[in-house]
Amino acid sequence: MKKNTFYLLCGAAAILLVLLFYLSVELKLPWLIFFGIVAAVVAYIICRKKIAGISGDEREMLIDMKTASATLKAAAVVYLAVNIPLAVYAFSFPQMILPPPHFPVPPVSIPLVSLGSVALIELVLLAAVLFIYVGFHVYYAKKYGGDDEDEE
Amino acid sequence: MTRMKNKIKVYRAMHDLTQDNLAQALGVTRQTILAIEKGKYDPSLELAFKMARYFNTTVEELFVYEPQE
Repeated sequence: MKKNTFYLLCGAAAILLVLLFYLSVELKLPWLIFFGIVAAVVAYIICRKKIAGISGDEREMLIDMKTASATLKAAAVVYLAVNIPLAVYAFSFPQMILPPPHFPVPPVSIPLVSLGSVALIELVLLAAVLFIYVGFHVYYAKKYGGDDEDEE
Repeated sequence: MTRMKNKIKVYRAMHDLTQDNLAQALGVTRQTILAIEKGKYDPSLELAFKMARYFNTTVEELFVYEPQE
């Protein structure tokens, strides 16, 4: 398998996972996306081993390691900062129903579904972690001279 | 910048090699050679010895450690 084919397969797998996520929400089957993610990760590991030249040299490995470490630390902070208050909220309102508002309700109001908001926050966190990863990768690639122009 | 200085560019010029040639000979990417030459990345001990062997010299000759004062 060529390197480009591998990346194309990764893209196709990502689209499939998004579709599977949508399907599991529609069918109310959370296990569907669970097994989908596990299968995708296993397939990724198997395919990656079959491709020659996919693993970079020592500098690229250092960049990957530093990026992973920094992303993990940043993600932990972000997740703790958001999820602990969410847990407090969930414990405070076990039925996930907002208390009746104590302020005057405008005539047209958008109903706030608490559980939907929690799911949305989790997805935003996931997207934030991806952006954090890309940001750190760009930073470390620049730090270790990946983007420098050739002098030759 | 690291505290390591190196003479890779000089040795590469002496052997009339491009960064790409040297990278291929050592099994690394051209960006790695560029980063080492610019002092942005310190190579591993293994790569440093590979370079020294390739240029038929010593690691001490190729790399110089400059302690901070």
